[in-house]
Amino acid sequence: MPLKYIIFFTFIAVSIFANFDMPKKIIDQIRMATVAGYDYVDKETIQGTVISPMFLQKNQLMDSVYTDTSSMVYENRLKLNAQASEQLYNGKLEIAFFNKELAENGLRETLDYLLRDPTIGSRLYLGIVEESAYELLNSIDSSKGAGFYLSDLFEHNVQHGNLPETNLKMFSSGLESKTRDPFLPMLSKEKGFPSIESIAFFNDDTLVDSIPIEDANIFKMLYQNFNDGLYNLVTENYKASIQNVDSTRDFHVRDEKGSIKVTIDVKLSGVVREYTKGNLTKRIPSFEKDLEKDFKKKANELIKQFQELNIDPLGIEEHVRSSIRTYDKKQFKAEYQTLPIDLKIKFKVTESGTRK
Amino acid sequence: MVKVKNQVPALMVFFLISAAQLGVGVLGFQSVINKYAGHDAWISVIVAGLGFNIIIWIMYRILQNNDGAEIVSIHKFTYGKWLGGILSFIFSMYLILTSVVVLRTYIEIIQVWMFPYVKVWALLLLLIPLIYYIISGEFRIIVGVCFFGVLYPFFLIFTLFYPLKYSNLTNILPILDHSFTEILQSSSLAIFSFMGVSTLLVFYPFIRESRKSQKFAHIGNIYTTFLYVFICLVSYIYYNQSELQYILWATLGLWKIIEMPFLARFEYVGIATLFFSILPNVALYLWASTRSLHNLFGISHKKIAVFLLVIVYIACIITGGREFISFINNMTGKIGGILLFGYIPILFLINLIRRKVKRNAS
Repeated sequence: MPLKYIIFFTFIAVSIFANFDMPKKIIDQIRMATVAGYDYVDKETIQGTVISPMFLQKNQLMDSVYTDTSSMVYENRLKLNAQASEQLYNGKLEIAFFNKELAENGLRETLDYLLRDPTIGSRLYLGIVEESAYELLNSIDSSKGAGFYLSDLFEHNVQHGNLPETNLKMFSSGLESKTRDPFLPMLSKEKGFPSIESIAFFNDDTLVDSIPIEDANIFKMLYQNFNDGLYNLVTENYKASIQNVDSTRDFHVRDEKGSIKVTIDVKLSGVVREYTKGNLTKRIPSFEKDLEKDFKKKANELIKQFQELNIDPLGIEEHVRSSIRTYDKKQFKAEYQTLPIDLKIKFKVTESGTRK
Repeated sequence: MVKVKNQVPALMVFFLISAAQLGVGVLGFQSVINKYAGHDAWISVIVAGLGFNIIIWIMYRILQNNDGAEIVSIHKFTYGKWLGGILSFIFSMYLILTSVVVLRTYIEIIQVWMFPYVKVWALLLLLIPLIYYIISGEFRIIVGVCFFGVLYPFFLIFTLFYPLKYSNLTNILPILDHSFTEILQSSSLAIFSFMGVSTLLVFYPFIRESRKSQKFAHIGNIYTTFLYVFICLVSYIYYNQSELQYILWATLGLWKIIEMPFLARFEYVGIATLFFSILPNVALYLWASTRSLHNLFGISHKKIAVFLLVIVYIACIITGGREFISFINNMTGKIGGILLFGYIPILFLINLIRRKVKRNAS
């Protein structure tokens, strides 16, 4: 009997001692990268930038920016580690940027390491930078640290603003999917600080087009269900702003003797917050009509734009594939650009605030 | 015969069967089984689960026809001393192989997801005494481990509601878009995740009122099927099929989206909790193998346990690498499929004929 326990304890002791020299990652002795940015230099070279905060004392931190050029991300990391006072790790990465030129040349290669590394979460935000990612990252001056500053900027725009739901997982889903195309928010530092300027659309992994963020609410409401939107209406006679827009959208696909019919059914309801022409309550039905007409016009233009570019960020093909058993990829691809897409919009104004 | 004091209640069969089935398969079966049936592969899981209910039924017929004997004496009775002995030996080799596959795959996951620098030989030294403690003692210890192996990881099911927010139902539509043959082909790939039931042939004599235990075995199998189908459905609406091609452990991938204020990476908790479901798996297979060899050769149970653990230890150290591990996983799945769906029905028939012949002769 004692022999058994002696062997047990030897085993356990040996095991612990043998794994004792595993590389340790003590929080004070490593640098956690919170933001990464990649710029296009030439066909074979990228410039990689990483920001890592150092905590000085309570509520105080200092962001260090490291940057260098190389042919791939981890070769770059080697060079950045040569500049950093402690080793850089990816575990706290909040957001990653690619500049527009890089995105126009394809993102798949650069994206790979984000998906392959088990320490990087799927909630990581991705963004495109119109000019240079390095300069954008350098322009942030915030006591939060660049990582939280940018991820908070994204988060509230997703929850309450015009930015559709986006993260690494959704982007890579769109990228791999054969029936939809991905999109990403595009930032710019024209104003001296980073701001979300537009939404960039991709064909496979290359950036092909973008729409300004002011008009992105139409895309968002066609793309997903949403419950805290904003809608502005400008007509010749009056201007109005609707808040708390609650939208649900449904795709109806019908197969009528071989020709596919797609109807997008959007139901919206919201509260008026601004109205420039006095008494609103009397005019609500005609006001709702105006809203519907305006939404329909803009949505039609947007869908036309997608069809002309032959991209499908709304996943129309996905909806056709999933509801028609006779779906044929080749036939759909040939028809997509001229596919008639009907819109059924129902706008309901529920409240007019504290005034009539 | 096994003493009554060493036997366990019939209800425990539920935990034994579920714990034997839920193993490493659950972490990555989604991107394996969709090879033929694509987004309909979740139906294949149901088909495989129903198939296993039939196999459990056949197993119970074999076991009850032979008055609660276990596999070694059934083999001996059916085929005679030599052929029966060889078949029992092959069966115990298969059980060892399965335990090695489960343990090695789990260690691979630790290497990839948690500690890339961990020394496999040293980590195993930590696990081997634990496994020895479980398999060398009484059967009740195994049952206890199996009980907690089903209970502890249960809370993980709630984490699967998290990814639903980022899911598209369109990914699994239209339902039944693949032919019945394709679905069957896919369910043959799902066998690996269910094949723990083969240990039933060994632990059957340890069940008190074993005749009553059949319904618990079926319920155990239905419970695992339900879990697998649920995990599979969540994964298939979360990932689209072209995305799954590149993903090795889809279940762990689902956890990557979970982020809590106090916990950045949920996988660490998940993988650690799953140890509670891996341990009974390995222990039950090894115990079953030890028990069969003990019945076959009459050498003491503890000596065989030590010998088998040395084999497992060496096998886990010399194997490694994604390519090889996925190869032995597929191989074991195929062998398990042949054993359970090919050999068990044959054994049932031959055994039946053999008993008829014997009865007529006497």
